[in-house]
Amino acid sequence: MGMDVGAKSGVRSDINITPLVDVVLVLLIIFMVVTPMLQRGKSVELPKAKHAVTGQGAEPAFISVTKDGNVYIEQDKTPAKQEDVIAAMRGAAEAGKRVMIKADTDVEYGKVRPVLDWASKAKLKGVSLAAEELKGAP
Amino acid sequence: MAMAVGASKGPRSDINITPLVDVVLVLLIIFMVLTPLMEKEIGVRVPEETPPEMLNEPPPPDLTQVVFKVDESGIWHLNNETLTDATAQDRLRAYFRVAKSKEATQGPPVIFFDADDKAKYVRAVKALDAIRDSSSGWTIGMMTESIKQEAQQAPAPGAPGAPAAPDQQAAPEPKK
Repeated sequence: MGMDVGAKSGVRSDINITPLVDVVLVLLIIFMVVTPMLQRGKSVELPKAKHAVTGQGAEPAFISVTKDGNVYIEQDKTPAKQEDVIAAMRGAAEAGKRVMIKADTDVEYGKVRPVLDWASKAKLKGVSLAAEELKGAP
Repeated sequence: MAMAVGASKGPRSDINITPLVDVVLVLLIIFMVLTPLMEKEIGVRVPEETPPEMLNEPPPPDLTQVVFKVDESGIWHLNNETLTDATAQDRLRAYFRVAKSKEATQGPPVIFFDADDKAKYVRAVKALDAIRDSSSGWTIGMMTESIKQEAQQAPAPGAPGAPAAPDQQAAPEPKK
């Protein structure tokens, strides 16, 4: 378009980078917002299930059971004790949040059962077990 | 810029939508990538804490319970039956129909779930998935204390509440 103007200011050969900057900034902002939501709790290998659904309601509180059987609250570095987990669950219950239990697929059920028991002690009515959606199931 | 050309075409009054399209496309791609990464879940219930004085209250006499158990080696049991992955769906559906027919007196269908401490968690989740697969109407109740062997009193097949087992399936007889 600019080339039609005439020879007065010469050919403009520099690329207009304004749209590029726009897009990159938007990308940056989106990733800044999304990254903390992306990985909640510890990194574990989740079991696969056909009927796993996306939960409704507010962001849940996460309790993770790792392969070595340790229990973590959210992304804590050190394994949590029973009292701490119950306190965290009670806090979630009072705030009206769900509690998501992320247990590793290879862990023994005996490591997960106490967490359910603590959820019961924390006066929660139910918990969510994290699972990966099984794709391509017949 | 085009406005400087002269009067031959008149001013361009349409909005340049290219940047808008750019941004929207990028947003679309981002959400396409992120949506599968959201955590999926299976909802289960846990027992409500009962005050100590209520602990020994006997259940109503005609209450039929459905108890699903995963044993040490990952084999599934439904009340007294042993299930295979192939028969599980049929049996679960049969139990669901019975539980559903008694909804008026006993409340919504509840299945109690327990797994042995040594069972792999993945087998337990597979079982929960099978229960959900048989019917979405089940309320899954997680047992937080293991059933003690001597206290086990699941209804025998043929007892009220247990749906009739298909003929070709040898239902294990309860020991007397």
